[in-house]
Amino acid sequence: MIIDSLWDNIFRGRQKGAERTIDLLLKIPIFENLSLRELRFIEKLIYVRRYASGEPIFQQGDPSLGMYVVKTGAVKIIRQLPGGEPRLIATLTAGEFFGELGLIDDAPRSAAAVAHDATETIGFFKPDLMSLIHRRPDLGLKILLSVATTLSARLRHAHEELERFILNPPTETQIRERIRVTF
Amino acid sequence: MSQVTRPITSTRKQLWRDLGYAAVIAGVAGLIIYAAGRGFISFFAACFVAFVLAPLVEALERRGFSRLQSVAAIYGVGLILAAAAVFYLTPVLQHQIATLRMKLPEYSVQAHDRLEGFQKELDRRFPELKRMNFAETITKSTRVFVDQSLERFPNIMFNVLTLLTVFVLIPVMSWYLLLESRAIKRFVISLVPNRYFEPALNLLYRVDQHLSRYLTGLLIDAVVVGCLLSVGYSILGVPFGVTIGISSGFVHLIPYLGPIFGAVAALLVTILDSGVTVKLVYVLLIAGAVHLFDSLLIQPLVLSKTADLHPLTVLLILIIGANAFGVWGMVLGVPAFCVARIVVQEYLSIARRHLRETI
Repeated sequence: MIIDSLWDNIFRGRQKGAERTIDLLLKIPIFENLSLRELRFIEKLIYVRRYASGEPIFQQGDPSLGMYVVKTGAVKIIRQLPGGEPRLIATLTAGEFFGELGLIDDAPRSAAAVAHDATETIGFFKPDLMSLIHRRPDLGLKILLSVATTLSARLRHAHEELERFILNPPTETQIRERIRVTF
Repeated sequence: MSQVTRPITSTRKQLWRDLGYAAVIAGVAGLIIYAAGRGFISFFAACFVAFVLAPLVEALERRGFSRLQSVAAIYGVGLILAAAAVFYLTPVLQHQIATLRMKLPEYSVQAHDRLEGFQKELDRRFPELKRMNFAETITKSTRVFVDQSLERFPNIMFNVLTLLTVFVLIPVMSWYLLLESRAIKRFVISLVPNRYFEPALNLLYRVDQHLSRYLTGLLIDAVVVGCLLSVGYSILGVPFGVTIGISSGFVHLIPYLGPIFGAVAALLVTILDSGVTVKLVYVLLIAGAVHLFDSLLIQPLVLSKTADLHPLTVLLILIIGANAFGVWGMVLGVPAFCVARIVVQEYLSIARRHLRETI
């Protein structure tokens, strides 16, 4: 049974693992170029939330608002195509992140995220990024540039894949298998 | 990859249960506000000050100052300005109020004479209205009202409790609200259940942005209207021009009312002081020019993106606000309506999503 983690979030009290949070942020590409001082500033903008096992973090189709980093536990990313059954795309563990596109656009979430175990996440959201750009443009632009770099790396990877496919076209069976695995 | 169970979706029952919780929380908040009574006005005033000053604080933060330094700097400048205003304006206001009280009997006699003339004309044309002594009734009630208002005005303005509230309580509360605004927001967000966390964060951000922009715009608008009317009426030589201008600025916190109040007050004073002369046309021209300047230039610049309401809607809000909560209802009606509109928009988007998921 899912227990609402409302009280857990209220009475969490002062974060004991503050240093651990910063260590974790340092491993995320978007924050890896920031100084310790800047990370401490970012720490004031992030939200640590606790989820019970099986509790949704967000649903597919929800408006994107920002990114999450798995602090402890694990998160399942689940995608459902129209008329199809929900399928597990990935299981993310501590240190991995998801939803970073939400920092840039308002497009609906393309998949649902559900806590696999008792999970703790760190959330960083677009309203806070906008406010940061307004108050500390230097730091805000650094983060935006990192997001752009991450997206650029993905685009480059997709481009290389496409090039490989064009040079060496896959068979219909291979395409079907690829679609089955992805969705 | 293996198929997994469907993600846990919220049901209609859950939505109704959450609505019930929200209603209970709103009810408790309403009870607290009701129990605190007038004490909450200071709190709302402090929120108003904090919202108005927040953009200035952020502007200083952008220049590399810490939050504490920024707030302290703004308070320092504010203190100097307030001291200067009290130093220069209080004697002028006190002098004009005292003069008005002295001149009131004279004005009253003049008004009575004019009304008596009007009554005679009325009696001649409509003899059946003879027994209703308009002149006497209007003069008496107006004299009592103005006399009481003038007697009460310095008491309200300069009594210890008001001074304590204005100069100590509100600045101290707004100081902490400005310093701790982010911690307060985080605390509020921490109270929200996980399933509403993202919408609540978005809602809080939108309300914060909207209120900050609206209240700052409203204040700039009121100051501009107050200054323009003060200068215009002073140049024209309208008696109590500064007092009428400043009062109009305050009244302008209620949409549309500033220039109207200023024009009516200035016309009355001018008629009583110099009779029906061409000066009245100039008074109307100044009020009209200020109203045009405000409507065509100031309001589109500072308020257009925030309120975005049809004038009829604003008038309806003003009438409902005035009936329900008096002057405060008129001042806070429009921002409260805009906030409620954002809340409803967000709620509808959540409800639509939940219903879509459960169908």
